Amino acid sequence: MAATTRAGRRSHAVRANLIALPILLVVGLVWVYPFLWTISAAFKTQAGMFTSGASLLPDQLNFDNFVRAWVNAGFSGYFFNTVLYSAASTLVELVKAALCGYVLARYEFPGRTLLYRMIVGTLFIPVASIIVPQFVLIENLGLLNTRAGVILAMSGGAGALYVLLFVGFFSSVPTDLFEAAKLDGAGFLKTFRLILPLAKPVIAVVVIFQFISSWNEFNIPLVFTLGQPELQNLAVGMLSFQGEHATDWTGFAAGMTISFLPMLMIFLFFQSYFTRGLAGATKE
Amino acid sequence: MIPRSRLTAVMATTAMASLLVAACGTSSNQSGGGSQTTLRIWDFSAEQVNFHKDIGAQFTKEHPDIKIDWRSITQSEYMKTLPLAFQSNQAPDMFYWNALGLSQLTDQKWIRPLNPSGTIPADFTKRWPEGSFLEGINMQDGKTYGFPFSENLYWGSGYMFLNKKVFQEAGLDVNSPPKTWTDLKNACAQIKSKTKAQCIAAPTKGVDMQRIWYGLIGSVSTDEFFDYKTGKFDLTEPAQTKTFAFIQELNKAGYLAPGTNDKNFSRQQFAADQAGIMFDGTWLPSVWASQGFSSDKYVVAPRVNPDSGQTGAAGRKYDNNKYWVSSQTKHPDAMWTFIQWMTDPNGYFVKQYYKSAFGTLAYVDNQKMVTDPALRQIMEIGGKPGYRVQLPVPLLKCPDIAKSKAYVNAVAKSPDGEWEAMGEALTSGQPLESVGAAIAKQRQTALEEGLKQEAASGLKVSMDCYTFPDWEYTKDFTSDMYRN
Amino acid sequence: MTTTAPAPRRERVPDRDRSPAKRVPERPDHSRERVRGIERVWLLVFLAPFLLLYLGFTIWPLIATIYYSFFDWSGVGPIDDFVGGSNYGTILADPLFWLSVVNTLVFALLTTVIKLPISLLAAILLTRKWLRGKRFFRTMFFAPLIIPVAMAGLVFTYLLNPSNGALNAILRDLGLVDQGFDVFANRWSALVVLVLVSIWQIFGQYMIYWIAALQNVPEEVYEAAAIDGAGEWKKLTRITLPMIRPVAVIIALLGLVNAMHVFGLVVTLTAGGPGTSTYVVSYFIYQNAFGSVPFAYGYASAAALLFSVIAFVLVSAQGLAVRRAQRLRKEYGV
Repeated sequence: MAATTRAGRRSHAVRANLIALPILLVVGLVWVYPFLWTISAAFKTQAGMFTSGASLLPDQLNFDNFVRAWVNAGFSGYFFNTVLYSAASTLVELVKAALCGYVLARYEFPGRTLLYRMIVGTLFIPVASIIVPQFVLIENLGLLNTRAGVILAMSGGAGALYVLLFVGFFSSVPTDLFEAAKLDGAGFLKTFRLILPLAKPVIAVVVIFQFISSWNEFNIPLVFTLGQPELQNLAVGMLSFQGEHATDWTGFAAGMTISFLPMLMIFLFFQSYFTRGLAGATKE
Repeated sequence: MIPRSRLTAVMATTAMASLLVAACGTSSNQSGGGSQTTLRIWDFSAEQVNFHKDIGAQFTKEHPDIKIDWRSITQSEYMKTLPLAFQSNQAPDMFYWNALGLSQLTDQKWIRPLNPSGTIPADFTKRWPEGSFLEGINMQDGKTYGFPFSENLYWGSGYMFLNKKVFQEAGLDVNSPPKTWTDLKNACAQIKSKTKAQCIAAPTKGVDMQRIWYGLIGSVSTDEFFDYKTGKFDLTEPAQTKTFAFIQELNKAGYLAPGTNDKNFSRQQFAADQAGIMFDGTWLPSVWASQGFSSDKYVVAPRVNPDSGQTGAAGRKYDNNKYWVSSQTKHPDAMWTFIQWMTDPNGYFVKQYYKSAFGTLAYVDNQKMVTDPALRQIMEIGGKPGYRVQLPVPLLKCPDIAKSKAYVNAVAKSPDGEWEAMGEALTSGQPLESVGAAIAKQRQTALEEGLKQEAASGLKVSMDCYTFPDWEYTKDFTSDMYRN
Repeated sequence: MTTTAPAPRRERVPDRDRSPAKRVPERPDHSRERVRGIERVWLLVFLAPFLLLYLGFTIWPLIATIYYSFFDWSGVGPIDDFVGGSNYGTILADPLFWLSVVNTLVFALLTTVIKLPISLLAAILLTRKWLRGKRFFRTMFFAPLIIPVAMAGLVFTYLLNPSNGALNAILRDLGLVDQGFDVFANRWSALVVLVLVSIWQIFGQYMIYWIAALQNVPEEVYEAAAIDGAGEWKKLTRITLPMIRPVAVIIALLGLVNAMHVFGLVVTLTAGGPGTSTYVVSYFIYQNAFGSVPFAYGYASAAALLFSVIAFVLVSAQGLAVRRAQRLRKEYGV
């Protein structure tokens, strides 16, 4: 009896796959096509990129672009900075958002509602237009031309959203779990440490997006390291493909192709965090 | 599921490592060490990065105690970062700036005289043609702050480039290029009928509209949206509406390559032999060379005139002072040494600059130095009398204009307004007079009001400073003409 | 705005094992605890990192921006040219600003109503247990997100170009057009392209948000519903959607707000054209404040604030309307 339903379910799954996979594959290919075009442009000559139109096949297998990207965008020199900035700012972002989100979701304290409303309200502020005051702040902290200054500025501005996501998550955690923890004698900190791993999906979201946005960020590293260009990152280096009279698009594409790898790796690794956090917890 | 302890360990390690490194970041690499001076130079010519490395190395070979650190930042970012650099005392020793005039730069206290003593020796000024150093342009109170870098006789937009392959396929001869508007239409008709190529690779996206505009308007009217003869902003004067109507006619006939393209696209279209004609400027040979399209594949020709003949010219401005010594430099002597070195007409800098065909310099005998065939053709065309003429300069008529902001403010509001009006007219098919009137009027009002206010506060400025009734559109307005 | 989750329609959950660890999670209870004693210190410790950075990098810049907006200031040198409300006056009187506001709202609304449902759909599909190759498909839909905007703009100008672009080649092969069609020559087709390209690029981000949100729904609820004989559709509308509503509100808000700040794509795809017909607010600010030197930093500050306020008012009004409608629905028992 049980065996037949399982078999029935399996054949149901096969049928669903047969319908879904072709559709996903077609849509996915259309979706990913411009991305592949960028990668193929990295192998093309400037003229080849223009004349090949929609084709993904390079006119010739040209590795000059990669050589140029490596040298001009300063991959050898800036790779370390880029990894450091992305990792550190992601870490800061994660810690501060998780802590704050947890407290906002779980506890009542004076000013809670005000703080929450302010966070929502400041979502509307265009961050791009506030670089001058940020610059003044970093300068007064004496952190201009330091890696710490860049990391601080990168992780300072964008946190509101992540806090909201953590609030949303922690407030959907059933109260029973907290009660259970309390019955086991867990204090404030212990309870947080028990609950936090359940937030893996949100952690994954924060890591993926903060990492990518820090990796591609060029405004902050450029402005905050004016006095010491060796502290800049790859995205600033990539600006060197845009000249006064022309843009070296194939070199740009090559630089990006190299740059894609770390971001895709982060994504592939952290997307395994998208498992049912709560379900896992209750089944332990 | 990642064990929690491992996650915590990873986090802690990363945090420690990043803090350590971040802390070290400040102390490392404070200076080049020893007695060597490092001169920092900034510009936005990414194309010239390798050239700058090369000349930096050569200079250090000749002057072992001075190192050159030449940095290029993309133009839009450069404009944002340089002010911040000055504000936070980290400005470079020399910087490239072609956006503001001398008086604004001294007002903002960004620059100091070229030479530590303020006055430059005669054997330095002799490198330039007479009349290159003018009070208000690159001199103030007798001190010299700037030097003309690129020359302004050939350097500019308004040349016509013809693709040899397309012309040959169409049965046309690049050596007898179209000379009039009718010629142009006929050539286009032939290219369209005999080849698969487009006729004119004309970018029309935003400000890139200027390529074809300057290519055609130069033969009709000398003002670039401001008529110095009458002192009026204009976009809807007969000369301009007539020229724009011609562009619309070309567009309707299918002679402009389809699409709202930008300049990069159009240049590649031409270089890929997909278009026969392109209007653009002096920088194009080096751009194309860097993309593998060499100058034996095209020729340069003069703009085309209306059938009734030429009534205007391209305008030359005193905008060729481009490198300025920063007020924040700690090495004015070394900087002066370098400036003398880079402006040596027979020096290494000049030789390498011309080798890459980056352009034509103001302190060089271009007839002797230019070897690139396309640049030579450009020089022959631009050097003809009446092709490019010196525009009148209000500042030289009224010195107080140096302190006036009225004109700058008038053009700062909707800076791309003229091009946007053209874009709208081109896509909608409306005549330019109906879409362009608003922006010209807005600028004129802003200028007149601004000058009035400034005059009321004591500046000796008026619309008179912007009006040169004696000027002839196809003749140079020479410096002696300001005295009348 | 509150985080109060709506009551999911209660499915009858059989009372099985009541031991705390195994208990089926009930509807989250949002009564927040009050802290006592030593926990107060922990509360402060937890809030401190965020608060410090928030004060430094959001609140102080915001106050500074408000201050700058009353001055004619180029971003450098002393801030001494007080102009009162004249920056605001100039902006409010500029028809181009209002055109930009309209375009921005049209853009934000269109992208949001398209991208949210389809990314939710993708997220639901890509979290099905039976589906093969989830990781592969997720990566595919995610990929456009890591392309910088400048490059994305370039790719699409090439693909959409009427003379040799892929789109026109296909249309021509199908016999739909005989001449190249320039999508950027018309305000509405240009706006539609902006919307579509922006959705293409940002899609992965919202898909990930939804996937994360879907993980909050406990498996047991579905299992219980399945025992009750609920179909997939019923599960979706009765369990999934109500359960993810608190996060959905945040995601929707974010979708709107992010879309309102669209800038890079406009620069690379249309440059505001044809004419000024696809100007959006951030592009308007950029052009008028940073399009020529010296910068009008005070003006830019005023324009940015003004638009933030407009956007805030509109979004809150919409939020209020939705909540009111829900209250009415509840009252009438619909």
